Amino acid sequence: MPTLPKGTVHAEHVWKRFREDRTLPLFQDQVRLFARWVRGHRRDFRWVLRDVNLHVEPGQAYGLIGVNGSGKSTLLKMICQTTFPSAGAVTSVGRIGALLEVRSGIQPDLSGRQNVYLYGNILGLSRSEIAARFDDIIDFAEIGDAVDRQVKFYSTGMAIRLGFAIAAFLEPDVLLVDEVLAVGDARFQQKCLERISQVVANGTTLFYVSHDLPTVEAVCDRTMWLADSYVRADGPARDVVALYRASVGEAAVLTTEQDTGIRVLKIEITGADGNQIRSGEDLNVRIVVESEEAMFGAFHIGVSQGTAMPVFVIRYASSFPEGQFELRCRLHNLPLPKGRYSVWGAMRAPRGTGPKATLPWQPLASFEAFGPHVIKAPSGVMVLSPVYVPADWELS
Amino acid sequence: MYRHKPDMWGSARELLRRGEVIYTLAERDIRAQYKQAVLGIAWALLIPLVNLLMLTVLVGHVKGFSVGGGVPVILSMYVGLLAWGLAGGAIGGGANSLVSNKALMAKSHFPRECFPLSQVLESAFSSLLALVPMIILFFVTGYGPRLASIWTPLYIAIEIPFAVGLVFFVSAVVVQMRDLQQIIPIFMPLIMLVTVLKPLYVYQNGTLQPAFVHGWLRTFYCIINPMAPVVANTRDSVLLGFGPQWSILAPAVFGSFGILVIGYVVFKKLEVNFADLT
Repeated sequence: MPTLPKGTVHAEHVWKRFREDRTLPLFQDQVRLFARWVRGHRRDFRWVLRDVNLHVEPGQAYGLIGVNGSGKSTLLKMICQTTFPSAGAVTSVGRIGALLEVRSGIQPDLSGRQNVYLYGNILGLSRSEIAARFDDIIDFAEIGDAVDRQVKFYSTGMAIRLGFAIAAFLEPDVLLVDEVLAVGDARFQQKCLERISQVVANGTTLFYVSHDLPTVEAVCDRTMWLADSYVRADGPARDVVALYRASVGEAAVLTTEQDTGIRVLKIEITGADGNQIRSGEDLNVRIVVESEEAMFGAFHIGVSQGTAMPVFVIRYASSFPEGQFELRCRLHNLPLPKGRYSVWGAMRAPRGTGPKATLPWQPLASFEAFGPHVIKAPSGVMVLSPVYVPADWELS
Repeated sequence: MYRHKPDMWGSARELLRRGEVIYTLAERDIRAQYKQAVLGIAWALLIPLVNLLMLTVLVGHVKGFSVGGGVPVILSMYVGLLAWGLAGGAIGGGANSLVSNKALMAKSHFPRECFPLSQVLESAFSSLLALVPMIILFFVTGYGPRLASIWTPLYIAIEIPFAVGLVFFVSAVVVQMRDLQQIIPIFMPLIMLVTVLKPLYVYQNGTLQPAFVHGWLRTFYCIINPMAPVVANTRDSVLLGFGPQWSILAPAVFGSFGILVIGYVVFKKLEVNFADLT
């Protein structure tokens, strides 16, 4: 293989399996395992990654998404070369900085200063190289006088800030970030995202794992979606995240099918002139509902990008009869850019008023909106949910 | 299927390049160990003295545990303990060096050898501190060290490969088989007692007479426990003024470097699993 530039990460047909967990730490279990082994029964394995391929050039920001247990962290560990594949090969060139778990590697018995030197040393920097960056790290982490205090006396926030600052300022060629930003407060989170963009702009390769999809879209160029040890999708961050969001909606439909007294029999979503739904125009929703009880309550409709968190919610409070009824709703000036959305709904009576029948918050249908693309925020800025706002600009 | 082929020379070279990590890790351990102790680093001086007192009270009067030649028993034991201490301390602390550093191992890919090696370095540091009580003992007993003490670096040079090899072996095996964690604190003091208390030579009429084991068994014993000749020679040189006894040192060199090679090979073979199993 020719020498690759620093910061390149290349994985070829990577498979990884873990041994099945032993049930109990008893000697008799070992004896039973040994007896099975003698009878020719080899160990059971659990595959966590199957045939993963990726190639990332220096300076690219690569996201990894997927539900818990889909193999994201294992893949990161292999890129970090702390664990090895069962088959295939992973090459990562250059110095690797990892923020794999919150506080991981921060030694509670050492002071902040000693932690910076220890971690820098492990990353492969000499003491003088660390000393040159020391003030930047302490400034960024906003630790101040606490530098020489033992880290176990730090607040959680301080420890996390220190951990992030060390990894982000020691200028690794590859930076791995696994679900660590979710812990800090909003201001620090934004600061970290900005730092990450800056690091990437300086030519560091970034691997970013998160369940927080807006940050993935904000930070990453490309994204891989891992599902149950397979690669489900790999491509431009926005497309892959959109696919993932849609699948989360589908999965939710499957899990909320129990009968709680109110059923949605039919739902129709149409645009202003009949069929196509367009940004800034009307949206018509027609829902047929069957309720086992008459009630005075409220029907909520929310529109989301697939997840349970809606972009907006509308509500209709009324006295609903027992049996079937039809609800019609006209939404003016649909504030959504082009994309695929889900409609979620819920219905219940106010607490304590009697009726037991409810419709829990669940996806009812999905639709495709046509119109302008969502405007991409500056790199490192996360957009919570896409809203289309027509605006007139003037430059003088 | 992927097979992990350890590149021994390559990783040894990388280890040399990244040697600073060993110092940093040892420094971290030493700092963390004494940071919240009221007596602080004074413990490093107290522990060998307490060990010595215990041994002297328990077995000081038993015959056959002394090198003879008018050497105070307490001094003979302390020099023995000191010679043993470098390897003994390293193995005691090194067994868990990989298991307890899971978080650091997950952080970055640097030579894993640094963890056990930092334990050897740490043990060398405590041994150095333990020289202070020895000087005090020399003054108290009025018995001075002999000129042949200049041979000690040779004995240390034989002890270090043994300590390093054994720490490699033990730390790597503990990752797979935690049983060893329980076994080591039981066996190490036993081996220590045999090594320190049973002199391989006894001073009689101006010469050294072989003692404890004889014939081919003696050579075999020196190969499997290189610490016995190291302790015996250190004691005979420092306290009695004799030069190295090659008949027992040669097997010790063989055994010591043998352990180093075996320990390193085992370590590199098991290395693949460290991250998954710690």
